[in-house]
Amino acid sequence: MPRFPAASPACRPAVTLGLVLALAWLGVAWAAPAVAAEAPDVQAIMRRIDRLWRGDTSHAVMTMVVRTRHYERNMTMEAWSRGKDESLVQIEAPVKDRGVATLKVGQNIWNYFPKINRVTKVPPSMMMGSWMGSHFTNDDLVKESSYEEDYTYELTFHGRREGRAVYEVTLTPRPEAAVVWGKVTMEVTQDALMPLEFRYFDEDGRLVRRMTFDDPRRFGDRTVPARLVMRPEDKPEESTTVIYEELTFDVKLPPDLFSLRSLRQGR
Amino acid sequence: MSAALPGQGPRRAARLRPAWLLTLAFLAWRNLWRNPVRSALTAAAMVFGVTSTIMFIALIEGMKRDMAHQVTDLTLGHLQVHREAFRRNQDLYAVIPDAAAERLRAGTPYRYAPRVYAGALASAGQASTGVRLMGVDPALERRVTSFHRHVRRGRFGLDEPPPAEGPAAGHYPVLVGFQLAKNLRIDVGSELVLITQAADGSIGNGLFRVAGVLKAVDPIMDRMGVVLSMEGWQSLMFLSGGVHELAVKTGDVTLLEEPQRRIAEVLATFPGGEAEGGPLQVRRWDQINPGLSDALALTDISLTIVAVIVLGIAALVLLNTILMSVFERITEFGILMALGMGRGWLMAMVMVEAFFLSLLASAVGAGLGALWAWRLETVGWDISAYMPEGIDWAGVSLEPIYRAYLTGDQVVKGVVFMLVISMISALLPSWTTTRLKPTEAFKR
Repeated sequence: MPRFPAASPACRPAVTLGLVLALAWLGVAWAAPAVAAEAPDVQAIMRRIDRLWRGDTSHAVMTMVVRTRHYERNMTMEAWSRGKDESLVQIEAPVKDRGVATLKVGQNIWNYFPKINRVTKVPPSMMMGSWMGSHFTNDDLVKESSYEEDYTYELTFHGRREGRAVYEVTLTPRPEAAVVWGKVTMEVTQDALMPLEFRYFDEDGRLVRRMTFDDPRRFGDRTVPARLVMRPEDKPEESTTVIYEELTFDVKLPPDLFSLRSLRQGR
Repeated sequence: MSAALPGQGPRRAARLRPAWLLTLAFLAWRNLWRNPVRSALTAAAMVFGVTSTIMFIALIEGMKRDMAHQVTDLTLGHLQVHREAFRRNQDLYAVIPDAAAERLRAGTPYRYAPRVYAGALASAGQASTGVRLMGVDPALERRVTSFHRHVRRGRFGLDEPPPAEGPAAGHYPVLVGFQLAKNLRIDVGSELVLITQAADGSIGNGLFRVAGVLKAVDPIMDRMGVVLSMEGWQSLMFLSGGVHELAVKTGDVTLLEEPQRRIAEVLATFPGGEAEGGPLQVRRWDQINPGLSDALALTDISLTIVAVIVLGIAALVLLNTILMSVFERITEFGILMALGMGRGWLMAMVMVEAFFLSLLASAVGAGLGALWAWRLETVGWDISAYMPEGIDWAGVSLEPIYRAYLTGDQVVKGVVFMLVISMISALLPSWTTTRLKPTEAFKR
């Protein structure tokens, strides 16, 4: 059920202070539901976020900027996806990494390296390792497809934050799910259900990293945030930024695109 | 009886004559062999005690030496230099500047072996696993550690350049830990793919060739270790300058305070701020691996406990034997007392019997133990049937060939220990003789 955390600290003393203030409290209580006109459906929010960058199939051109204390790297990559379980990413630039590709099918990830012409499967022990030198892990790629099985959702906030009407959905891992996060919170706008910020907490409830979304842009018939920034909390000077340059949905893809053979051949 | 009985008359017994002692010894020796089977069995139990004690001491000593050797001669060196941040969390960028290494080489009389490290993904065929890369300078490494001789199969081979042509053209040679070789199902000559996050942010990837499989080093090296040349490491990692570790060899592993101080003085002249990855530090091997020095101290205690138990049991056997023989001879002792032999002399005689028996057993035991330990020192004890992976203890892995180390000290210790415990346990049966009264003794 929706709660009113933003309003209640202001109104609780009001009740004890008398009739006038109690009336004011009434006003606040009446005003609150007006922020969210219709009852928010958590499942609908999640479904919307889930399908935001992804149709039945999709094709994207992205740039990724990785900033660390020691280097800054700009990469351009092309990506294809089908459903939740299949995706293929190929690096176009810089020249040194050109042709390096990642194939994800279900819970498995393979990388292809043109220089040595070898495909390697990422073992479970390396799932927490960085993907292509970014602040994303291999695990992020894999877990993306199993959010629904791994977490239970709950609407933990709805109201105004920083002048915007937002929903906050908290994802708590199911006891049996093999996930690394203790909790994930997702903040989305109420009007367009556009994601604003995802926060990732460890099992002790400490904030580990945050991913922010901005620059809403129109791609075909949808508007999606074109820019994603991932920031680790322990290294404030570091970040990974992904910018969607092109994004098309429901494109026709060759049936065997998500196979080791096409990975090796550079799609 | 050839000579006059010792201790004739209680008053004269006070004066000691050498002849009496000889008589006593003669009597004791004769008494011992009146029941040869029993004496021999008792002696055998004591021989077993002494032999196994010497053996055990030699085996533990061998293991201690192996471990200390493993740690200092094989991987660690006597001292090591690191950046603080590298030691704390293996920070790839926390390097020792090349200038510092040069200043150390020029300013101190010690030998230095530079090393670089990195994590990587290794794969061969369908199998892949996380590994720890260790880049070494083969020529300098040889002067500090005996790593190059620690190859189980294949060759050290790191100083060879990658072949210019053929199927393995451009593939740098690597050494792999034996456990890793097993897990990835690779062996000498296999191709190994290494993928990592290079220092410049790119995705380091390369093909390598397994030149050799290492013997047991330590758990991490055995399971995750991939050793390659500096050039091979750089072909993946693109780190611009500096190394992660300097292993130092000095003249004497037991005198390290002075070298540590001198190296620290040189290191203090280089900046060690947060940006560089903290100060440069030099630590002794026992500071780097305190678990090992503690474990070595612990073995000495457990060794003493085991020796006390084994020899104590042997001494109890002796006690039993002497007590039995005393009880059998009560009538005889009564006669001796009636003839005027003092109680003290009677007790001394029994003590001498026990002493002879334990001396004999100790001599044989020492001989057997030394022989056996010497054999275990030269040939070694192959325990690979029971522990095919070798021994893994206190962060050090040992080969499944157990080698003893025998010193004269150990033999003397075993013998003296046996004699002391025997004499203590012989006190009880010999003391019972002093409680005898001749009249009662005849009644038996």
